[in-house]
Amino acid sequence: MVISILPPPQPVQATRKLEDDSDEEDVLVDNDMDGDVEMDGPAKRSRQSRKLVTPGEIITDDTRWMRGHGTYIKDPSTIVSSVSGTLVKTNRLLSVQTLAPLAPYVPEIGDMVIGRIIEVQSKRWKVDINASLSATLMLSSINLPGGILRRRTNADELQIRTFFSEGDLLVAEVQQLYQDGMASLHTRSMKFGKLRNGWFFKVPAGGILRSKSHVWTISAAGGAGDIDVLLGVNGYLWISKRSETMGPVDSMRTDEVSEELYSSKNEYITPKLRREIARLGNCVKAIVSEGYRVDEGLLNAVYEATCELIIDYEEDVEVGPDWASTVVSNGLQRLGR
Amino acid sequence: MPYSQPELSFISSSLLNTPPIRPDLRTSNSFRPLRAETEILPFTNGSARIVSEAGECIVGVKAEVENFAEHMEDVVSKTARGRGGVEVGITAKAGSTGLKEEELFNLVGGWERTLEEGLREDGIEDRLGIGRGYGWKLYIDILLLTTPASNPITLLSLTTYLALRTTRLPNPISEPNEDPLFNDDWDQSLPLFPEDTTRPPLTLLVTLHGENSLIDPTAEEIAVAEACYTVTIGGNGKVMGVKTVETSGHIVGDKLDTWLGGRGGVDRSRWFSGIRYAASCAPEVRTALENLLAIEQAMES
Repeated sequence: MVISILPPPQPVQATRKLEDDSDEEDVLVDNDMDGDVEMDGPAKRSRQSRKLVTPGEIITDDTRWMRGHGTYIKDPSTIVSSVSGTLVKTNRLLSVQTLAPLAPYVPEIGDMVIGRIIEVQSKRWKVDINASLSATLMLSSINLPGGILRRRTNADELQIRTFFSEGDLLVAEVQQLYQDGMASLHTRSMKFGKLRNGWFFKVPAGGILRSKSHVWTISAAGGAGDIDVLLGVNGYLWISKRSETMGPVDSMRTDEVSEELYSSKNEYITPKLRREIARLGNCVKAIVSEGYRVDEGLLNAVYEATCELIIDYEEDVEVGPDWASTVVSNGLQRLGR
Repeated sequence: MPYSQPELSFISSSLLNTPPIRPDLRTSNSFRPLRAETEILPFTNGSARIVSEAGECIVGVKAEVENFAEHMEDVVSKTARGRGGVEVGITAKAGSTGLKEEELFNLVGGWERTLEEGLREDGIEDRLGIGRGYGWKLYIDILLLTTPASNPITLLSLTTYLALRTTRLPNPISEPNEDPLFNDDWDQSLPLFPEDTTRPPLTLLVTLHGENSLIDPTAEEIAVAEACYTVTIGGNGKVMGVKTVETSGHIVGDKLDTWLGGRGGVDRSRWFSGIRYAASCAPEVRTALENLLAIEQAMES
């Protein structure tokens, strides 16, 4: 298959349908008041209460309603949307569900994120973590070679690029949030640090489900070996060969930090394993394109489903237009969802 | 955006495999999945839109009647059927996320001239003539809606192809020696590319990695390519133009574990085999695009 061209998809349907509310006209402020063009003419006529709102749009000034997620109160009792998305009404609660693919990542303390160094400063790095503001990583928030308790010296500052330089990928934890929402990261554990031996994948931040475990190992199909999956909460993923030096198991041996930690050398990775890493990446993309969120269970199930389609591990599998929906629905069946 | 050294060494050694292992498991000659629609702009003679991982592109073709013999005193040339003209313009979306003019020029600069040339080679100017020195002037406007991660030329080319293939011109009802007059029934309009004419040119981006040539490379693949160029293939199979895209080069390191950055270059024979590879893929791409047009036509009728 050289090229497959499909007609465009049907317009995206809102995921949650609102109940038909007969008194909606009275409750919601008519936008025509301030001369705005009513965008959802046909929807109104059909009495469907699916409505798209934009930031700053007045949702209602009726005191009966309560403010939910994605909205704020403008005096005295006007509820205004703070994000763009669909309006969701739960009894008397008004909230706005964001259009997930458009929303950037909002960091929270304790999140495991994957980031890319975009700038090196004298005592810290700037890290792209898919958020609206780039995060910082202080020199004092990383493990230095030669033991955790060593003081940071001027020599370390001068050699800052030997730890991380521009473009480097790392896995870290959000340690602190500044008032403006900017995240401060740390890598002071053996499970965090520089990323090697694998490939980076990117999905929208809304495509990852926050769950108990974001790091796990998959035993690859066809005896190719073990694969580590690092599922950053921010939508960045690192899928790599299972490494002996860094991993979730021996996470507390922080005293044995060596120069190895900041090496940029890959181990030898067999072509078979490279294929499986790429296949896992395709599974992640398939899950997101089908409108589901990635977590350990679903990714494992979808990966198993793809393995069934493989006949010969050395051959490329034809990824047809229905491939994504086939493997994802197959994976969901395995999970009994 | 720069990549990390482990990434560069991983992808580079994957692509040097036989067959190459691309990060999304595509074969060396397959495209990223794309979605296309045609006739989306009501005030144009032909239009198309393509959305893919590479970005989103809209192309509109507008035709205007122009007197190409206005200043000619020669009566013969005024009564001849006349010729038309083609003009191509490329713009990127304005605004903070859009590309600056010079950035766009760095990516696709000069390609619009190659496209014009390719269309002229197909004899489009004669078909655009109406009579008495009048002719159609085609304006092909290519709009790139997303900031591209890599060179967007394949996307632009495929969209332009679809737009040109759906372009229709009003049917003249005047004699060739009269001033032009047209049938205002759109159903009677004539296609710009009737069945027996050669098709518009296609431009494909190719990268070379060792013995492998890749079609429709991603930004990461371009970053580790030994050579990268765009190849424009005319409807008659001729190569209309080749333009080199700068890349950083070549991995080495005996165990393929370390990225050593740009060094290398390729043999002349490899360079030509990449061009031949692109030329051999063009007919299949053209077939896929024609299939889409056939589906759209079937849906309409």
